[in-house]
Amino acid sequence: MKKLASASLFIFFVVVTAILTSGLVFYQNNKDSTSVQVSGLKVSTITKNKINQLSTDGKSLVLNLSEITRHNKQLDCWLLINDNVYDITSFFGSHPGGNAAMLSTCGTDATDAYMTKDPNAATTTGGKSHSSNARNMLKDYYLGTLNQSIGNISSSNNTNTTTVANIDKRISVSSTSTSSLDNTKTNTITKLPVASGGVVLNLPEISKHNKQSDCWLLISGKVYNITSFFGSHPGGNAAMLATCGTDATDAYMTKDPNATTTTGGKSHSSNARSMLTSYYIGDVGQTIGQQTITNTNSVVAPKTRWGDQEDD
Amino acid sequence: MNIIIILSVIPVIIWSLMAPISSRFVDINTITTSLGQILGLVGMTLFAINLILAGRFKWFDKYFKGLDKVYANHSKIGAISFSMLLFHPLFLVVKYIFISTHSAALFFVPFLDMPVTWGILSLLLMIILLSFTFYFKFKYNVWKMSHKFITVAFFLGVIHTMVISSDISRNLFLRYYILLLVVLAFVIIIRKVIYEKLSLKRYKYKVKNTQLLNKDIIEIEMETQGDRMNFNAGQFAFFVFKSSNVSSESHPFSISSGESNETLKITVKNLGDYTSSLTNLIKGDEVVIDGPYGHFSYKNVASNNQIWVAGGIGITPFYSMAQNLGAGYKVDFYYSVKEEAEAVYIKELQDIAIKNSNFKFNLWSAKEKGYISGELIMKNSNGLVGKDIFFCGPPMLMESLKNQFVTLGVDIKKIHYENFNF
Repeated sequence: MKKLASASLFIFFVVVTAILTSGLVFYQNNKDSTSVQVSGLKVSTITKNKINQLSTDGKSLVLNLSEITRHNKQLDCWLLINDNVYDITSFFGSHPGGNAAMLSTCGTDATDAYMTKDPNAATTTGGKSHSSNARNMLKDYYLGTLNQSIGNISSSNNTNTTTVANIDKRISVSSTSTSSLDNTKTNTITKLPVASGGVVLNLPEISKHNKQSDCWLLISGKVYNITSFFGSHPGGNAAMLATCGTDATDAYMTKDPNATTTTGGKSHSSNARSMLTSYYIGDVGQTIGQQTITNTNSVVAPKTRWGDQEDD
Repeated sequence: MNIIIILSVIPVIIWSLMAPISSRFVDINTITTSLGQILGLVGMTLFAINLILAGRFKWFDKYFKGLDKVYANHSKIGAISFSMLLFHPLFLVVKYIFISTHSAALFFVPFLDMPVTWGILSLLLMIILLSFTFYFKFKYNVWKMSHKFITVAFFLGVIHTMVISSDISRNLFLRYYILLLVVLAFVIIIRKVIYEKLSLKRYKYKVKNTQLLNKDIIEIEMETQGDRMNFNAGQFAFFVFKSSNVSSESHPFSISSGESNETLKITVKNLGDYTSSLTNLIKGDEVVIDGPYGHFSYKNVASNNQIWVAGGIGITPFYSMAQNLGAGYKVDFYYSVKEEAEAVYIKELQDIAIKNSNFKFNLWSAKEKGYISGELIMKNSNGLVGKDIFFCGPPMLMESLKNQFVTLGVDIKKIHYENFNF
């Protein structure tokens, strides 16, 4: 029995040490050089999948129950909560309540399950409801409301159609305007963003992005586009807004938007720091492609690919 | 033992009914998560059971055929539970590895997520405390003190179990099942502490005499100050000596005096700090005794035709049994020692053998006759068929003799031994 305990202890230490070393030490050394490529890769593959799903045959897609029912797998999971349709496929693996609880609701009206945290619930009462934090997370997976038609290119000329919401925090495709849809349709915009060339991440450029709807900032020589983080910041929007378009290093280090040094105050947690990396767009002075930064100018980049898809 | 298996399987059954099994074992993510959950669930159940087993109850003594067996199970279950709880996070982290090694690493960092943190702290404390048990040889009383803190690790683990969102938080029955075991465990721990502190249901004796039987072995004779503890020859008890020269934790010893003797005797070999300090006892020192425990008795078995094998200080329960051997029993007794000088009570045992022709006494000195073996015993006692065999002695000797007898065709149910080493 001592042997069993010793063997378990040995395996435990080896695995934990390996994960901690590669996940923390190694991560610190490599994130700078790789994150741009990684985020670029993510954008393209996820967007492609999404477009594939949405524009089957290039026709419009109505978010009705029969459509939702088709997406009943872990690899393709839609569900209905309070008349809103969500695509939670990319949330598998991250659900604190486990995958199984979510999987059993894929392709169904999950309102009761969501409200009670019980996949087998038949009412919205009883059980425990999800936290406000969880409700915020859910928004990221929003597709549209029930019976709404999405991805319909020709019929949406005069309406603002809500399409694919924020799959990853970096790709927030929100409200599409009529004009861009028209452009997409005629494929005139297809090569525009790429053709427009790179952007240099210098201070004049950063200072242009000083609004809540378009917010870049500089922290320790790295440029971040935190536009999609508004609404999720535990310290509130105001604190972040004050630093949009500026060097926010001092503010970030001290959690004080008016700070002028990096000392004093309280620094952000390692958890917060790891979240920040997902908003990284490049180092100061670096020239980057249009595509990376159009994430929050949103529509353009994904729409472009939508057009590509139609060309195929 | 069966009841422990049933108790630990129940939560797994409830868990498996909570969601379709097929949805729990879909891909590597769900499989590892499910295994992690089962390990956590069963690990905590066994942990609770183990604390309950440490409770030193009379009815455990009966159910498990001797409290020594309970303690043997306690260390076995402890090791299994500990291993399960170690693998619990290792399986759960797999799904994070698929996201990134960074998020996997953060899973092991405490204080990022409180429910997880309770689990991390619990496991950390367990690792430290159980290393004392497995790897570092502390003085018995220091170890015993440290081992008590395992309750704290358990408490942290319980918080983790209750606050983390999991199947336990979603299923009321599972929640109450775990809570019931937890409450039971805590009640038993508290009961044990109170009983020890207040000496409730304990016998109060006084040291009457101590005598060195040879250079390593001391005999302590005690007389009661109130009620006399009745016991069956072969049983043991826990002794606490209230002496300024001896540390005050309780230790188990086999009783070496006969059932009907006026005084109670234990015979102790010097094996370390505590046992060597017993030479400092003086007449009149108070003794608190908790007992008797154990099922090691020649009366509890089917056959009257028996073979007894004592190794070294394992003589004590046999010496007690020999003094009151009932009529109709036929016993061949082998007393195995390295050399004759190590043996005690030779004269007394020879006297018993002279008076009772059914009791044969063989002093087996390894120096003169070589190590004792199952085969030699079989030859010397004209076969083993139908005989019940009793051992008490060093664990190595007992294990080896047990295997030899099984090889010689003895039914394992006919072999009885005292787990002296706990």
